[in-house]
Amino acid sequence: MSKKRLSIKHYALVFIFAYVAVFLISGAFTLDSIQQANRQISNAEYNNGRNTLIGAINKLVKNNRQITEKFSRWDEVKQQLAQPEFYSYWQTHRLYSSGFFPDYFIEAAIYNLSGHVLAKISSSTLPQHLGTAKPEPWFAIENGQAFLFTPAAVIDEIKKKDSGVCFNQKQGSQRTDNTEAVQLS
Amino acid sequence: MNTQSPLLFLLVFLLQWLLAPASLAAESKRVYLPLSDKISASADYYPGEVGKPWVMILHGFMQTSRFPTVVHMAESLNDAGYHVLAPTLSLNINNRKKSMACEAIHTHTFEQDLKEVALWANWLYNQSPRHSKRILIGHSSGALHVINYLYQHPEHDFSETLFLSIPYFGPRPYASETPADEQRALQAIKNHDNGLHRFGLSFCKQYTTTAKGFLSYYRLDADDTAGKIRAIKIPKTLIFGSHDVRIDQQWNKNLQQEGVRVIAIKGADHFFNDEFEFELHDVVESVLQADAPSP
Repeated sequence: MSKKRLSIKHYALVFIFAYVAVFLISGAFTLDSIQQANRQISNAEYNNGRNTLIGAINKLVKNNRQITEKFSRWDEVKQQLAQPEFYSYWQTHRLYSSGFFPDYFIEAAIYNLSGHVLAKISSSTLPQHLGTAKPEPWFAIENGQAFLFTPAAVIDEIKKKDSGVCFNQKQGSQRTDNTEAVQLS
Repeated sequence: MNTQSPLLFLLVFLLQWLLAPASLAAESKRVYLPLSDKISASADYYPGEVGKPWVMILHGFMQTSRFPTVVHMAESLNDAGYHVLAPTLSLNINNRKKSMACEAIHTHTFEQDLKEVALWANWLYNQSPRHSKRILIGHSSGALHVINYLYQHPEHDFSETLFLSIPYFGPRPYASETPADEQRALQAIKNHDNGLHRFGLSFCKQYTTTAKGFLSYYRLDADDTAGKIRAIKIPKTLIFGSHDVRIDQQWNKNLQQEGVRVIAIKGADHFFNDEFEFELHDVVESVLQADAPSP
């Protein structure tokens, strides 16, 4: 019985199939590596952008808090708390022309010990009542714009206690898609 | 290095401890006086030496006890051993710390200011030994508070008073307030209008206050002030700057006729700035020492 030997064509075919298989497998590996690298780059860019945005917002909140806390120590704020009879006049004619706030501050209001605004101003979009818990800044999206609310407590330095009165400021800025996704730590 | 750090810390601590009494001696204490359940007034109190006179210094229009003319005068007198009290009038603001802006809302009246002056005078009396010498000093419109307090309280315990410039309100050259303002204020009172109006007052072109608040200051004109000065029976000295453009120089000279010893500091302005500050302090101390009873 003679043993049938594979022809050169068969060897060539086997070689070609093996070559193609190796090429496909290595190609798949390469493609996967490229996709993985792309994902890593995207993730890194996303994290970088996210961190930059969080940093910027934290800085914004910190800056606004400083301005708000300075405002809470202003003699005229204490004046309004002690004598709110002329609050509407003060809010309308004095507050915004005092030069106390940068241009990007839209509104400010003073709230009494119970959390009620000292007087209702028809043009004001700020809440008329605030909780009496320790106030923290918050964001709100209204009509495609992001607003930052920065409350601060007014402290009676003589009695060394929270007078329970806080006020609120509102800062407007263009909404960005990332704004909603960011959680401030 | 490890052994040097604690040693350095100890050295710094010891230096601080050694220097502390000296630095505290030159500092003032903040004292508070409740005026209502919502408003407290504050003052700087500079403790002096035993047996030395007690001085109260009142600041000028809408200023505070931290106004440079007041602070430097208080420190100078305190360095000489005097006990000094420098109140900040509240102007209806709890623990007021800054000077008021003209454009702010002014809810205070001169009568309220005087009530505070009386409370601080009482504080000074209660803090000082019974037979202490007590002196009342007022700078600028603080002098008007002094004059009106002494006039309204003839039973006061002050033995001498010094005025560092005496302005007056009402119509006068370069005044912001006018007879037209007075007419508007009187009309508002007649109409039982307790709202806010804009008037001129002192150096303020636009001073937002009630008619009552405006008139309480406006009425302190030259005749009113001169008459009250005349009625004050304790030794009174006016020290003014010859270059004070805020006050009519003839007015200063006329006050001699009201029994006031008048001393001019050549070249000084309304605030006795720059080198005139030291001259002012020298003059004040020499006046107080000259008037002191011989031991």
